[in-house]
Amino acid sequence: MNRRRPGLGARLLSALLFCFLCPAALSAQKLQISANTLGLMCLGTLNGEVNYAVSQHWSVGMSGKYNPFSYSMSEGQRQFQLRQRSLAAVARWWPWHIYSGWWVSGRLQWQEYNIGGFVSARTEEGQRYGGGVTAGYSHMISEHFNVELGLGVWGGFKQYTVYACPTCGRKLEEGQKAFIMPSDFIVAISYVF
Amino acid sequence: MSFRLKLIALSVICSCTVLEDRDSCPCLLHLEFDESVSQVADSVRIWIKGEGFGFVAGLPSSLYPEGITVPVTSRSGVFITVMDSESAQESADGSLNIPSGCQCPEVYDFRSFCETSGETAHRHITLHKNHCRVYVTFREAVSGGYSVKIDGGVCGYSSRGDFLDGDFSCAPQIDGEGRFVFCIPRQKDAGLNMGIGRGDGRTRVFALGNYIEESGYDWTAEDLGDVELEVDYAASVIRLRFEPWPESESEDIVI
Repeated sequence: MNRRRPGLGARLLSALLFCFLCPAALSAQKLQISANTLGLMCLGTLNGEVNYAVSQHWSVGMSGKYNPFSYSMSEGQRQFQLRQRSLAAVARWWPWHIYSGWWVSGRLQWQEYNIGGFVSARTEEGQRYGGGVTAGYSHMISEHFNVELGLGVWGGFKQYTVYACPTCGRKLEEGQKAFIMPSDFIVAISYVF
Repeated sequence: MSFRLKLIALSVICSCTVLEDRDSCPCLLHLEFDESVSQVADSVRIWIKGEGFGFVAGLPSSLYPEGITVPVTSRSGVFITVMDSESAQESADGSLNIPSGCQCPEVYDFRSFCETSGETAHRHITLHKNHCRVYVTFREAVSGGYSVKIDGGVCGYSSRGDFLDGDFSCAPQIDGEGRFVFCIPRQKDAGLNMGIGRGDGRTRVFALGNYIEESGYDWTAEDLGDVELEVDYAASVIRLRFEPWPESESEDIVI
């Protein structure tokens, strides 16, 4: 079968992401966690990012997205989905000061995806590997809360399979190829510890 | 539940794949028909059998170009039998059982196992001539002066193409050229006998299977050739030729 499962590495990375959130690791104004509300509205994609300040202008962190949900408009209607899980290692540069003002970030990202059923029943599944850049602005609304806006793109190569429909469809195409695509439309709420 | 436990639980949930579980999906088996199939069969009957799975269908020659795609739910493989519809009339499961006293039908078939562990599978179907037509000519007299009877130990094929053991016997027909003509199934050994009776009531039995085998005829060929026998009863000689006629040399066998 062509069902690809990420190995132990991906699982460990996933676990590490959340270990960052352990209370023991927290220290004042060093750590920021955020969630992209636009991502959540995008068919319920759970997401989060944790950043740790390593200097006045730099922070490093990890982000993750997870969407295991499939939808259909009504009983018997075509299924559609924007399923994914992804992990990224992120480095942000803050020209003024960490967690405030403009920022630019670079990332290395892995994504497993299963997307389709929107325009037609065609569904594409696979793995994407690559890197990307995102730029945005972080606005302080209180001592601990920020609102972040941002846009990003990422590219790399993907191993993909296209099926005629989401479940048990005929395999139409498979292979590997390069890609470049938008990665982030960010309207995020962040909390700075 | 502590904060740390919640995080671990969330982490484990996120470890679940978002790819579609297609293990329970059927394998799409596509049968593609060779152009030669339409030359030997106006229509075919198809049997596909696997663990907990069965499929039977007829297919007219007009649909040969596009073939047929069958969703196979058995992932452990299936056995495909395709037979010309005329020969398949009496068959319920793809086997061919020749009743005693009847000739073998002019059967063209295809039998093969196919792996269906993947999401798709493909087979190119070519029908093979799985019968042998035997022509017998008597040299020194009109055919009507003799009677001929054939018997053997193979009475057909199982659905998987194995030999069916059983009595096979038939009386030939006489064609327009005065030849005795009969059709026999593929043989697994030299057990075929031909009895020739004369008007005086005497019958001689000839080990036809041995003669055919000694002549180099190949019973394991994918497509069986036809055999021609010229019997010189007075000289006790059988002249044997088999397809392909132009290249084959006749062999005289003293009986």
